[in-house]
Amino acid sequence: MSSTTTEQQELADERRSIERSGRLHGAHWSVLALSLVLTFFVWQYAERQAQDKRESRFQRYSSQVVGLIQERLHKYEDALWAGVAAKHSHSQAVDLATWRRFSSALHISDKYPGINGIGVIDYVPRQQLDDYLATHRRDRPAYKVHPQHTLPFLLPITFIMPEDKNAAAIGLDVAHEANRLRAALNARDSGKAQITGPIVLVQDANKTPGFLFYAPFYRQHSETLEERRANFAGMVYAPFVVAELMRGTLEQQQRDIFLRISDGDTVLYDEFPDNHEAQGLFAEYKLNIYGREWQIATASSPSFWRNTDDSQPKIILVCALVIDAMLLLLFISLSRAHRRSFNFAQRMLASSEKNAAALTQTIDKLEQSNHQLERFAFIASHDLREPLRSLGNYSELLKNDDGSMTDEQRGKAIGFIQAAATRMEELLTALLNYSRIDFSYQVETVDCTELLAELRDDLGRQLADGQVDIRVGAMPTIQVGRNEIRQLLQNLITNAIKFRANDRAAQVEIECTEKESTWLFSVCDNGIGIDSAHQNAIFDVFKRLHRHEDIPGSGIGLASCKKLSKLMGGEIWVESEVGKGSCFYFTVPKGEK
Amino acid sequence: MSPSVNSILLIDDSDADNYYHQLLLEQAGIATQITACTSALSALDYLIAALDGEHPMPDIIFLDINIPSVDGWEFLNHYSRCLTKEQRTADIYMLSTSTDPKDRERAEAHPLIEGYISKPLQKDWLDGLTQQLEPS
Repeated sequence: MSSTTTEQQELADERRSIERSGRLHGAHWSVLALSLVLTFFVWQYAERQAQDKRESRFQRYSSQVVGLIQERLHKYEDALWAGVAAKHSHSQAVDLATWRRFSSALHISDKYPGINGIGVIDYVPRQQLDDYLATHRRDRPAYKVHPQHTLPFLLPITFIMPEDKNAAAIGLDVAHEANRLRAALNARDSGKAQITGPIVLVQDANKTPGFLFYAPFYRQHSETLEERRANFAGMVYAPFVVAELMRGTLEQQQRDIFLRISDGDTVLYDEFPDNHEAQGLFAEYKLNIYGREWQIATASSPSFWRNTDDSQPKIILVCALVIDAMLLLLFISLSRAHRRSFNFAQRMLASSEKNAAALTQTIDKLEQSNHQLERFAFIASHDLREPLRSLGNYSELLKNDDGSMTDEQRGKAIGFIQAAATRMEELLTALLNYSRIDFSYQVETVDCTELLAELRDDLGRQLADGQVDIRVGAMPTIQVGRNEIRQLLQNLITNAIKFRANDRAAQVEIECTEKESTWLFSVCDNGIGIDSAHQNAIFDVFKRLHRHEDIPGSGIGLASCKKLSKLMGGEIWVESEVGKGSCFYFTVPKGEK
Repeated sequence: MSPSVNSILLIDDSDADNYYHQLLLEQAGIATQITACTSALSALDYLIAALDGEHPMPDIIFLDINIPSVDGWEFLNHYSRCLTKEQRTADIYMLSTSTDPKDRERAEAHPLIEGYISKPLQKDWLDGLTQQLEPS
């Protein structure tokens, strides 16, 4: 018993633990949370990696562009020095035709797209101006130097090719203006190529920023500053419009970055869109170039972003989030499946418990019925053995008779043998009838008035002596097994007649009363009655209150009645007083069955 | 050969058994008088009549258990109540078909019962009884 209790306790614990494990609890949520945190970090890491990659790419582009600018300017410088060399090779006498030939050999528009042209600026002390003008007015009578200024020397642009594009510049004295002059003097003093600060070229109708690029030449080789100043003869120069230079330098290049070039406060070139500062990558470079300091600023352009594959972190993030969502779904579906199977097990358990209860009931019934059967067999064998024993006893007696038995004794013995055989048959028939009762009970509509009329006819013939008065009250038509109720009534009426009192005429009254859920039938007689001590026992098989020699009977009649009334779903009982009579009652349920 | 006892009473509801036992006892020649009662109540009447001197008190009673209405055990109750110890001179044997072992145990433990015999009476058992009675 106690081991069962322990087992039940264990089962209950197990059940609770299974039920608990089916819910989404701490472990599940922490796995999810951990996975989300991991996702975040991986995403952040990938994002940083991508950013680093972007930045380094941007830096590479930026320095590339700066390098390109420098390289391009070096290339122009080479062209200028080529011009210087050309000038030297023709001693001092470079005329217009010569310069034209030289410049056309340079293929400026093809090879040097950034410059407007290439020209020669001569150093002319003011006292030599007239000679200078005279020399050049030989070719070009309209040639003049402008604008006027008061410096002791002049730096007029003698030639500039191509002439048509640069007509405004011919004869321009670059000494007239501080920017142009300073660079020229720096070039003279250093012997190196120099560029001017930002200026607007006279030949640029758009008035965009530009500069001049100078390469100085001297009358003879000069090492020192004094020599240079003394021997300075002029400069080969190229005018730049910065916009043109940039286009030329970088037009074919990768343009995933914006570029801004400033010289001091003056912006030489600016690709930055108006509201670009808000986003993107930026870089600034200082470029010391030909005597100037340029600030080159770069910024990422939309195309930079387009060409940057920064989708990787996002893909990682999305994938990881999808995995997390699937994990959550998995947990939920597992939990749901778990809950379903748990409920299923619960239902199975409930149903098996119900089945078990039904089974127990059936077993109880079976045990009861088995017990009854055992008792039946015991009693039946006992009662059957009685006539059998008589048969044996008397046959033995007759067989062993040595002639001492009288005829009367022998006749009596044979009489007992016959009686025993008859009784055997009677008992066996009754038993057979009793055991047949349970087969296929079927309800039908029975008119009890009609049924009792039939019964009375049958019994009337049996009891034709007129000593029995059978009275039948008002009878209903009911739903019941026809054979069963017929046999039940027949048994009760037969009993009523059988156990009549010897001192008076037998009276049997059969009635039926309608109750709430049943029909109550009664069979009353004025017979010998039954002692209250035996009123329950009479319904047992083979229970006899009288010797069958006195009142014939099998001892099965009332047992059959009980079985029949049970089969019909009702009850049977008796009320009786010894010497006055008995009333047997039985009920038939009103329901469909 | 004179009978060993004067009177024997058979109490059994079965006429067939009573007659058979009667024949057997007569053939054995144990008793002068053999009487059969088919119910416990008529047997008591017979015994009370014997007390009144109408006929001799039986020396041996063969009592069946399964008798309708008043059975063998109840008879014994009435018997001990109606007769004083001195009046209860008869040897009572249970003569029954009951195969219930409880009945046998109960019979053997009962102070009024001499012995338990299964029906029917056997010639050998009667011979034994005769020999038992002989010396007296």
